Amino acid sequence: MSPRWSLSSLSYRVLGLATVIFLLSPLVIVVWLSFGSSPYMAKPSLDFSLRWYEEIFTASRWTGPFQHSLIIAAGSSVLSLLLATPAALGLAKAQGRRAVGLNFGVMVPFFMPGLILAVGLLMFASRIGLSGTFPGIMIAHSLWGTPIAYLAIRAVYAGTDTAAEEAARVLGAGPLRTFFLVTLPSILPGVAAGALFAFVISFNEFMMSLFLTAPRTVTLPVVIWTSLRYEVSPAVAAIASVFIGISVIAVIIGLRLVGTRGLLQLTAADAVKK
Amino acid sequence: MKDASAESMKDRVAPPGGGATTPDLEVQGLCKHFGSVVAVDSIDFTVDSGEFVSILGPSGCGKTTTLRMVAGLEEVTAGRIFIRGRDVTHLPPEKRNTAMVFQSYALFPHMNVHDNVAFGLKMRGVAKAEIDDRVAMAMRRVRLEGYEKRKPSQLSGGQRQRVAVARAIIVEPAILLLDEALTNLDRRLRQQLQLELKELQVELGITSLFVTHDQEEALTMSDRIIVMDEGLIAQNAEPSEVYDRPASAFVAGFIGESNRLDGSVVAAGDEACTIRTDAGLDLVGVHAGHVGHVAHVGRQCAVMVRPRAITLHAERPAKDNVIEGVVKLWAYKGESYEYVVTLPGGGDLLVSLPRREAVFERGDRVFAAFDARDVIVVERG
Repeated sequence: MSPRWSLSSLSYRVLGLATVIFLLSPLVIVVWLSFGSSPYMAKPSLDFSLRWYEEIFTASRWTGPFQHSLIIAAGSSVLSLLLATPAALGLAKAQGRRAVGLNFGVMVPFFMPGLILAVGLLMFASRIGLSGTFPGIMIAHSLWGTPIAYLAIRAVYAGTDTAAEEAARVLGAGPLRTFFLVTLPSILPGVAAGALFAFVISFNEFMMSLFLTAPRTVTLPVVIWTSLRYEVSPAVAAIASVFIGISVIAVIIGLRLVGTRGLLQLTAADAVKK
Repeated sequence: MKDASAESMKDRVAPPGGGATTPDLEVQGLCKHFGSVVAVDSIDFTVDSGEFVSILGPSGCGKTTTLRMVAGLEEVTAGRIFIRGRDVTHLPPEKRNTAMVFQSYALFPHMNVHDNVAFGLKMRGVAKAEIDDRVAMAMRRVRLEGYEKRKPSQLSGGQRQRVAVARAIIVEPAILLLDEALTNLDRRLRQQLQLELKELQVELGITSLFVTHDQEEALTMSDRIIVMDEGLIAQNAEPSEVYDRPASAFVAGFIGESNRLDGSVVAAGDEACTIRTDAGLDLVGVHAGHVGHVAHVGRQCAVMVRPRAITLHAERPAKDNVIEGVVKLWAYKGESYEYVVTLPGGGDLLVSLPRREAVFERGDRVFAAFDARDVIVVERG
């Protein structure tokens, strides 16, 4: 038997812990600052207060954009599902070069820089009168929401027995009833996870929102950015903490639904296919 | 069996203008191409009312594709499919009145057993009270009473397959399709379910088309076996016929063990024919039945002999065919002994003796003997 704390395993643990601390410390400091009472973003102190949380949930300069962000995230999440679900089901059965191409087509916006998409979308959206509107920014965000929802749904669909759909057809259910009675219930965890991921991506998105929102649709990240140019208020830290909280919860729930292994397997399988 | 089938047929639709002679399933010139690959190459067959027909063949022979075309899960490239006289070739699966049992069970995981079994009736708009009655009856038929509220994940493999069977028979399909339905189960359970399924099929008189790669399963369960090879039907006959008089070397090799000796016909009379093997042995076979067309002089052919048809002797016996050889090895197989005898001019003969009548050891000179009627003469291939 090797000793439980061998030198190499110990050094790995230390290294791993250091990495986690390095990655998480900015988040910890932001959350810490949000609970301070000082009106400036000074170094963290030990006096505890909820005044900044009170402000962000009551002052209209924050609550308006907060509502916009929620509306946009919800809308873009729904839109992403409407696009991703048929794509995931259709491409799961497709084979050959064309399927690889289509798969690539769904995934590629996810890897495009937000700035590039934003510039393109701005020109496109102003042409058709969508610039500064809710639908415009929802469509923009679904460019990122769709690929992530697509991945989640495909991961779950890959683990289901598609013969069940065939069994339903043979037993007398048409394509629509088969989808709603058999397919949809079995991919529901993936759909839910996809909805969550798409929601969080939209909620956090900054670059496209900066270009595509107007004052009546402006989102929280954009308001934070504009406010930071004039003052550095700990209210921003409070908002940031809310963002961190929502993102962490969504990712935990989402991964529970899809299963980390399922998602990893799927991305690995896709990589091999390409 | 006939009475039971007549009773269960009382609410079935009579085939249009057909009467009793219309088969429940008729397939004409059925073809399926996947790109340049020919999976099914223009096959014809029928399944009569109440009949249990197996399609047997190795993987890739086109048997599952054929079944899926009958179900409507695969489009046909050419040919026509009739179910009870109605042309269903281009109908979607839900309009064909079939039911299918899948190798993977294919139960609906989010529904409990009751809802799984009730699914087909719900799709047909049957009233709830009647659904409950018929589900209860179907559950009794497959001996799963009391499991209605369970989810499929809470059942064993055998129980899941019973649910799948109940879900299929409850809709009283024109034809029940079974795709390797028992393959995923372990050996003992499979044998038990074979008998249960066969009993149920006979009792209800359900016309069935069963796809399997397991020759033993096909022999046990079928009224008729369709042997497929490379998209074609190699033989379509009763199990005993397929076993005793295989139509080709492929069928003989696929169903049961047999020794194969290639040769050509050197004499063909009315009663018997003589085949000279490539190694120079002369064998006498019966010139009969559908193998007759093989047996004209000069024709190349293959001779198949079952291991159980051969006996071994220390002295030359008075039999139709006697080949002298040397025992290469032997093995104890429980109910039988197996010998491998090396033949003059090369090649081995597998011999199965019911018990160790005569003790031969490695290197012993023996005479392998078999009757002319046990010689199966088939075309090479």
